[in-house]
Amino acid sequence: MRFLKSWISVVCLLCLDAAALELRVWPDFYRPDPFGGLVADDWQGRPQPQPLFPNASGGVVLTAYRNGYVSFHLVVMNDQPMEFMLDARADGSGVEVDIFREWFHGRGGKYYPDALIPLRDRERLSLPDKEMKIDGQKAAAFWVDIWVAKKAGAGRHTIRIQLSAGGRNYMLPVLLQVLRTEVPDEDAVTADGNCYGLGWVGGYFRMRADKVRQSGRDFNGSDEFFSAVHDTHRLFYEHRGLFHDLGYNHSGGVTSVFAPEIEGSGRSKRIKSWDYFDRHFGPLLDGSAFKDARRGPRPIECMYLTINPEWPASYINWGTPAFEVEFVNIVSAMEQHFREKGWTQTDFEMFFNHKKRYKGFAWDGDETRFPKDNGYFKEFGRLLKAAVPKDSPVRFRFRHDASWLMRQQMDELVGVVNFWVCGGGIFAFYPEAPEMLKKRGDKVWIYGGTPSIFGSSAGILDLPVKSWMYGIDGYIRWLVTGASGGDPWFKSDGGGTTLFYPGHKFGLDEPLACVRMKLQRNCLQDIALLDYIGTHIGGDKVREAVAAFADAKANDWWNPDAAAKKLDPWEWSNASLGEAGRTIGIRNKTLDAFWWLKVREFITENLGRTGR
Amino acid sequence: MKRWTFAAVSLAALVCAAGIMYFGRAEEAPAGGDPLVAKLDGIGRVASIIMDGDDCLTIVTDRAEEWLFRRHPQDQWFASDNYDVNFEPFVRNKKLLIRLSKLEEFPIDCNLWLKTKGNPDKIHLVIRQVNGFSQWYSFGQLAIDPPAEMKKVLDTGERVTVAGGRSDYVSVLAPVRTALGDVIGLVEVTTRRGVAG
Repeated sequence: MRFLKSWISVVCLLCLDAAALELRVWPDFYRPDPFGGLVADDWQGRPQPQPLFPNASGGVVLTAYRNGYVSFHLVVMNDQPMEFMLDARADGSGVEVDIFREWFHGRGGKYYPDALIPLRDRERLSLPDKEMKIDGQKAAAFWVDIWVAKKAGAGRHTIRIQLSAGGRNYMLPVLLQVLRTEVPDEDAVTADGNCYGLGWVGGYFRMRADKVRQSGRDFNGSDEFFSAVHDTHRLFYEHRGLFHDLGYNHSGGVTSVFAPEIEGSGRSKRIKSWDYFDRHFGPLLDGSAFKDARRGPRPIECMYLTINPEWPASYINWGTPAFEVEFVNIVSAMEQHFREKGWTQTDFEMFFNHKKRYKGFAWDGDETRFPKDNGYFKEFGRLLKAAVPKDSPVRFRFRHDASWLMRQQMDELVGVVNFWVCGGGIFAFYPEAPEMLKKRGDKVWIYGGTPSIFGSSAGILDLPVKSWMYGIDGYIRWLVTGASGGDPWFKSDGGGTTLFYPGHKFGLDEPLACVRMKLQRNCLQDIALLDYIGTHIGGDKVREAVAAFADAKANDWWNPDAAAKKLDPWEWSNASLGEAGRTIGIRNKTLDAFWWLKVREFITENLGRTGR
Repeated sequence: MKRWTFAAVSLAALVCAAGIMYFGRAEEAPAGGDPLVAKLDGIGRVASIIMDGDDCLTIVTDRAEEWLFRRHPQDQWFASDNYDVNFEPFVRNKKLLIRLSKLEEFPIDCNLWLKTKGNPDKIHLVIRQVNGFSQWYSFGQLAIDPPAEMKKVLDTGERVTVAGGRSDYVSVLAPVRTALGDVIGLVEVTTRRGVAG
């Protein structure tokens, strides 16, 4: 009855200013625009979406799982300029609410929300937004994240969202139906965000960097630098993701903060100092960097080492016994250090990033095209085995990012490479690959891009769903640190290499999440639950059900009859592989927000059946 | 003795001889009075003597040389995807260039540029080194029109110094010749004043 009275209050108060203030609540995948509508790309070809509020039932009612988030867009609309504040409170313990101001990025007169700026306590907001300066803006959008901890009681919880404007308070109650279900701690697929070097750190943490430099110190390698890196890892971790930063370049030069310092040559080559490495990676490898995380702390899943043809063994010694001596001396010392530190829950990757076209080395360590290059993989595989004891508790993996030649290499490099990161389009040619590779204990990811802000919100679903449909372990987004330069606020390039933003524009010394990052997190939660359902009714059955909602079959994610396969891989071109991209995602265009919201209904229905 | 061991020993002997020539030379006046340039010029002089131009011409595969200038209307990566080298001459010459760079105690890169066989009016970087020093290489670049300084080296066979521009790079360009005396490329001996001490 009290809930009903609250709703009556909302309706009455809104009626008093009937021509003015309106509130809308939209599901996470339907992004609002600044004019009171929705981003058309998110529902093209589908029936007009219905808001969560107002609606026929009269209120916002959400289903939530413990150990997870539920999210929505709150839209404040008014034809007249107004200033207001927003506040949100949750009743009961274990439920927390975060509200973010959505930044609208413009292109060609259209606007798409992406960057999320956390609201400060009692922050004064305005419509139109004074910073965004959008002509004719009538709607301000806010992303609302509701975190439900494991300890939260199952049953009803109420979130009260209060808007204060013109001396009045308007309440929007949200009824949260928390199920007994817990989103599994472990993800069904790993969501990885890739970047290179340390050039992005200063761009994302300008306030921190400026403060250090003003004190006369070098930012790179400072405590503040490492805290910035850890803050970034934490942002990804809290969004069920992993942040991966490669610390050497195409000519083999290693950035000091990514590796132990070494000295000497030949038999005398040794590790001189672990200082930078331990300060950079120690908190990530023992999990202490995430000690305050809502998900609870744990070590990162994997990281790049800086092993390459020029490190730790000097290239000048290649082909001589000295190369092996240097390699084994240093890598075995690394194994010992990691073992003594107890860093035994992270995969340490020997990964070769170079390509011969960049003129540093004679072979392609990355995206190998010619079979003759495989000999180098075999030699480095032999060296790694010589350096790491067979019974070592430390997990070293030989990672290879494969494209053209992947299928041939999967056969030739068995027992050599045991972590495959494959171009998603070509991987679709080989439906036999996941079972073959996982049967022999190899880890398998695919790689792809980061979807543009200026397309469908469901673009973020492509890689996680594809990875899950394939039955592999995860995926990489190349790249995620694109907002370290340029103007992502008023001249966005679409964010195709960006998955988080710098906060200094708003006086915030922290990295900012975005709508795409949160949609990805929510999707990963859904997939973890789908996987759980699959343990009860069969994984294949679940995949077929998910595909059926898109009028498709699970096999449609594969492309085994691609015309390119008639030629040898080294005769392929990107143009001839154009067909490679045309798997289900492009063929029938039904993988959209409408489809995924149906999948969520399936999840809720089936979790009820599992009794979880 | 294995063939590669004989080759390595021969090369080592050659480098020793070059080192003796480099360190045993009469003291020359630094080029333009700049001692850093003088050091790089000394390395460039040795490079021109010991680099085997005929061997360098076997680095890039014939197929890659042919594909270097192929264009595809829908594929901007067409030529670079097909870039390839022969292992032995690449490794042999890269190691030799690294040894040359170690004739001084500060970081130096000795990069190899060669005229393209498919179009001798163009030049491309074929070997670059760990520090990533170069005044002319842009990441991912294939063949370029030789800048004026390189053209002078290719046309005249003279060493050319390039320094004092916008950056702190200092380079000496030294010709690479075949046994017939044709200049088929050059070694870019490059450092940065900030690291040269």
